[in-house]
Amino acid sequence: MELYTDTYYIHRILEGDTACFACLLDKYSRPVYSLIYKVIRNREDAEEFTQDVFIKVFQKLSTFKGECSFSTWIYRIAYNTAISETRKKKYEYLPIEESIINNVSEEEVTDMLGQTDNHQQIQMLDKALTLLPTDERALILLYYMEEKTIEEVSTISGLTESNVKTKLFRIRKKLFVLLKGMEE
Amino acid sequence: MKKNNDILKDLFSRMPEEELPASFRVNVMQKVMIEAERIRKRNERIEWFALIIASLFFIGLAIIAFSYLNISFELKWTSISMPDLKLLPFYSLIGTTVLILLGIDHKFRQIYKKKHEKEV
Repeated sequence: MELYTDTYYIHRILEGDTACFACLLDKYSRPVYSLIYKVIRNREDAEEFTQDVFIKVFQKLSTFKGECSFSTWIYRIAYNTAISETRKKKYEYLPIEESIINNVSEEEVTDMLGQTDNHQQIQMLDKALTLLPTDERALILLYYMEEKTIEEVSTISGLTESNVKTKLFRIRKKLFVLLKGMEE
Repeated sequence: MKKNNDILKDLFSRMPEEELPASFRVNVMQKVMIEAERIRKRNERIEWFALIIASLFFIGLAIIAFSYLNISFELKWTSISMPDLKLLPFYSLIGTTVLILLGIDHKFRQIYKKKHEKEV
């Protein structure tokens, strides 16, 4: 059970109790680091960018008006930081042809994964994620790993809800192709 | 899009979260404290600046009022009357030059301090 809400800590920090920021840091640092690391795939950079995210959060705390949840607001800063940093460095990804995307069904992938053990399944998914473009990786991670809703992913990424749905649908298909490709 | 009975949902839920280095919390809190101090000093400067501007405004307003109404009065120990405003442009020039030089001096000190900190 949560002892105090995020809003309580935000008020305390804005009133000058800077030490309260540690509570927000404890709550959000690990998931934010996980997201950034899985997007950019470099531990040192991920740690540095996570630090940057929390410094930005502290600097802009007074501009948080509560239009979305505090968690969504932090993820929006983390998403923008990760995406802008990956744009500076050109990361390679595997282009997948349109015609192939619809060739693999979820059932095929489920059957294929059923023949492998848990550890191997996670390894395959992790490898498949690295072959996606970074923005697509970030979207799918927000939706599945961080368990954000379509509306929240839309707020975080700045895309429309329908655009998020379409993109997620295509990313899922791409992941199925990549996972199936690993078996072969 | 439904997450229920989704193979990817199951896979992602089993993905472990990455561990942060032990020093992360301390490092961020140190930076946050420095940032808080910087913000406090900036706010203090803004407050001082606003106070000086407001004071100058009211002093200026008083001078204009005295000048237009041609007011002069005597106190027990001294008399206050409007000074000769012919020298006002000269004093304004001197005042502005002093402020600009102070600003340049402040900037140079900042650059020197930054350089010195890097060397240390």
